[in-house]
Amino acid sequence: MTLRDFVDEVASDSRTLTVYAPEPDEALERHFEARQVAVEHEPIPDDGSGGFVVVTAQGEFVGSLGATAVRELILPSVDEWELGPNESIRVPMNLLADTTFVSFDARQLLVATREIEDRAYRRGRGTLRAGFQSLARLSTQCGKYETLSGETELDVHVYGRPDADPDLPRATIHGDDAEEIASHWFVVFDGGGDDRQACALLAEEVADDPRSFRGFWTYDPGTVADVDGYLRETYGSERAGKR
Amino acid sequence: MTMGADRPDDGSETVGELFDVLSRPERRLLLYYLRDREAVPVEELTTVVAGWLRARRDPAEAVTPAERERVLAALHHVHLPRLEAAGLVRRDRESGEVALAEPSQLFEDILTQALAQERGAAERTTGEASDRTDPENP
Repeated sequence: MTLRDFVDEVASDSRTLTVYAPEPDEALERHFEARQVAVEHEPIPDDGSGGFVVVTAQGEFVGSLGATAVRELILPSVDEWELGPNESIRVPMNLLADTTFVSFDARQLLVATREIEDRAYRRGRGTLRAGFQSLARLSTQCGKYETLSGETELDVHVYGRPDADPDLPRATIHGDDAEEIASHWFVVFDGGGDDRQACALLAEEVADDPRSFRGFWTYDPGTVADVDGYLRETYGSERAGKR
Repeated sequence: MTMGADRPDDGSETVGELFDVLSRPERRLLLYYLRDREAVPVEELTTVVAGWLRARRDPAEAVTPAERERVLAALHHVHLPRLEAAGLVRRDRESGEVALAEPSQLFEDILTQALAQERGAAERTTGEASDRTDPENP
């Protein structure tokens, strides 16, 4: 297993959305098809409700949500990556994007990263693992990671190519020369005892000008645990050094 | 298709029964869905009834697989038998498919009117951003 294997597995997970509504919804279709989610349409008569969206995975019912709620999720400026939790929508991302395969640009990656860091901070405990490809890049985030490791009970682990020595006395630094550490960006929070708070972002850099990434973000506790466990076991040693 | 073939029917009973049967939103939604289709597998009908009912009440709250299972049980034990007894649907026990029985004109008219009524009520409440009116209990 490698970090890339995690990404490939998610990429191959087929999920279908069936939109039950009087008319098909093009914006919805475009949004999800860009995320490897097939979208179908079944007409229902217009009862004024706007219809609903059913998610299936390998033919099994995963959940359904009102179409108006789904639209609210995806429509507000699509380039602002809204991860949720959007307080007005309950169980939205877990349903629509439990584990979503995406292409990110650097800005979207940062928005997603922030969301997970905020979540970990609010929870205040558990394990947070962050890899920004190089430890030098982490130095620009030092204030935040000082806060995360110093002001909470979070067990913070940071990973990257050993090209710097960030000053984070209360975090565990994992400098490693592994190719996948240099090429993958990840933030993983185990939920601190609450599965509903578990979330992870894992992406591989696939181009550098402009930087772009392929990967996924997930709220599925099993997937989060798998990635968390992989990082813990593979890169367990501390400070700049080999596995 | 007769409704309780052995019962004398002076017309008012038919109307009464129809209104009684249609009083439940699950049944109306099921009938709206079946109206435009041939036979529909009960699993699909369940997904539709569960998803549609919740979307009408609270679009922001997702239906879980467990909740869908409860809808399946309710359809199987309560609503489909009731609709069958009223002569509105027929179920194929082997294939698990459900279809509308030949609908009377009365039935068609009522269903169309009910749908228009619900659509109108929903449109009137769309303007109210916060309070969500329950179309089942105006």
